[in-house]
Amino acid sequence: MIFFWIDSKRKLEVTYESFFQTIIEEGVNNRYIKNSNPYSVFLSLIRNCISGKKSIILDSDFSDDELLSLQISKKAYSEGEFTQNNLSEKFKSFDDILFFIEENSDKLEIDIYTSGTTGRPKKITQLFKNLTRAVKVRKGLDDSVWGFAYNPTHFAGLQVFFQALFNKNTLVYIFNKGFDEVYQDFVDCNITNMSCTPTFMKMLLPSIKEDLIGVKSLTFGGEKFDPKIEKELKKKFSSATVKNIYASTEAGSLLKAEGEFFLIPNRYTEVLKIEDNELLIHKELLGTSESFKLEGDWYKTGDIVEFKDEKRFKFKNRKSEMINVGGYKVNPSEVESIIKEIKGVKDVIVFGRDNSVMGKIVVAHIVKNENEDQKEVKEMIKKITSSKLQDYKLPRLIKFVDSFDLTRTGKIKKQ
Amino acid sequence: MIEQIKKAIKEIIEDNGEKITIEITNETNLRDLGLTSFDLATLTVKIEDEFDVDIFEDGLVSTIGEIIEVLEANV
Repeated sequence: MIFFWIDSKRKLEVTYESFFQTIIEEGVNNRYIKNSNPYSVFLSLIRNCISGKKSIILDSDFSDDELLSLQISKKAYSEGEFTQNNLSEKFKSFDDILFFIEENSDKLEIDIYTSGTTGRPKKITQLFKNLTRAVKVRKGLDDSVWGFAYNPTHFAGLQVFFQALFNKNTLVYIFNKGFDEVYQDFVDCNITNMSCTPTFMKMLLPSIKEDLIGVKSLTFGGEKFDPKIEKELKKKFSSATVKNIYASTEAGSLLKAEGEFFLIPNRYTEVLKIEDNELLIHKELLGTSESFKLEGDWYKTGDIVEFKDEKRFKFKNRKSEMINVGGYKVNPSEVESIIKEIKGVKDVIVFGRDNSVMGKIVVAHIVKNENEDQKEVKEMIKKITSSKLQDYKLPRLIKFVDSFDLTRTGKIKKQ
Repeated sequence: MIEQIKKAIKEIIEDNGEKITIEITNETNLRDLGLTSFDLATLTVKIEDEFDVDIFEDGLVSTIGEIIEVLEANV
């Protein structure tokens, strides 16, 4: 009996056998998936998949306003759309499902949303073959137990999901819960693998009471690796190999490194290149989205690198104004446009402020209208932003100023 | 010094629409105050504004006493 999913907070334990039975059960499905229970997200995804339908995955905390800006009505994701039946003939075991996904990976599609550059989330359509490109299946991986530490609706989360699924590994959901409880999950479930952001690890480390020698592999992605945690990692995960990955929402996981220095592997020399110290991705590796602006066949990532020698490089910063908050990208103009509409606000600038916990946090500087009460305006900003934006996009510091002396990159504005 | 740290923590918790329910001493663990990673990041920035020191710069700090130690070593 192998477990597919363990979520101690929701008291969920699902074996692969019962996951399989639930997948092929008759019932009503919807291509739009919006659910705060990650197990339900994955269940709907696979059910859509075996019916040959595309899934459109929405973050469970998207506000009505955000959905409206994407032209998705509440009706679209809350009502049933099509019925599935008679699948028990076609799929006799879970392996049949995996085989079907593999066979159809160049046809099956999924839509995900990521912080856009135009002030609203942008849609990216990915083929399954892009999502599963980094998946490795082999003997020796079949007894892995994954700590699942990403948002299930984001690219990184989906990649971990497929990696585990194709090896029939157990996934233990450890995202969005107290870190003492996460440590307990590591002990109780004998977690062997985890992929997470460096911020997640920084928060987890103080809760780890004893060396977790059962952990074999740790992968970090989403933001720059912080070499300062290396020493502590060796103490608390003494048996684990540590890898850093470079992934983009547009193309998924692309590069791997043991330290902070990456190189372009031979199989990617035709599809990845560095020009003017910026990483470029060939369109062949990308999903499709109206928001992609290609230069010839190449997509400019905005990620700037610094070479150590002829081949090896590390990532320095981003050319764009996107704020990387612990691995989640926030578009400052999206936040600004909402604050600007608030009564009493004359002008606003939103930018990322450096800190060693999450890399950046979102800060808003406000110029208010003269007669307005500062406290009231601040309350209003907090109220409205939290009703319209996802949690990680909210400004954590709101400061009132007479005029702006900082630019969005947090640097002093040159007069 | 502890008063300024307490003030910063109080602001963050009240900004979240909550109240501090325990008394803050040197032994208080930041986790026991229910601070999330966003809150810790905000606290770091607030303390940096006050003392010009990044308390998490050299790794991990768990208690109020440890914050004070880092500050005393750097201010």
